[in-house]
Amino acid sequence: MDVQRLILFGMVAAVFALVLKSMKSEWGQLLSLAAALMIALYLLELCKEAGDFLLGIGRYVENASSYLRILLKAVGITYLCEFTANLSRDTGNSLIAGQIELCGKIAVLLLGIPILASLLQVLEGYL
Amino acid sequence: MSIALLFKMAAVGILVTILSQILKNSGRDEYSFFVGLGGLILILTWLVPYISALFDTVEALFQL
Repeated sequence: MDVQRLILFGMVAAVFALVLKSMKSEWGQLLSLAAALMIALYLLELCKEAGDFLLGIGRYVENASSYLRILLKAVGITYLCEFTANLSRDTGNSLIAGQIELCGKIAVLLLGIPILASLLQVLEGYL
Repeated sequence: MSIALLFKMAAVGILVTILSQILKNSGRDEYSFFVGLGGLILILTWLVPYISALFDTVEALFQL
């Protein structure tokens, strides 16, 4: 992972966004969106290995891979929601940002319900 | 990660701003609005593939 390239990229993008924002604010926001998208794509490509590794660990433990998949899913939902919420907050729409964040929280909660149910089942077995 | 897109976007932004300023000063406000809109759509057409690529990558990576 070449951090220098990422840093340079972010620097150039920030300077351009600054220049454009002083002229016309929506162009600067579009440019920063483009830069953020490209950095995110680059980082996610790097994360692919880590995700495969996590799922690989799940193979060693019984029943773990389904839980790990749920965990990964929650991380993905959180990432997308955070990205979109920050984007809309950047453009001055904090109302939409709040709703998107709430959506993400509820989606993660819904994802977690099966785990909670299975935990309760296990507890029931002991009683 | 292509820095060329950033340069292109900055160039389009500066050009459109200058054009719309010139048009506004020469009393053609409606044209300046359309120039701004055209530039915005042009940039969005460059940007949309990246947005969809991000969503595809997240879908594939986190198995959504």
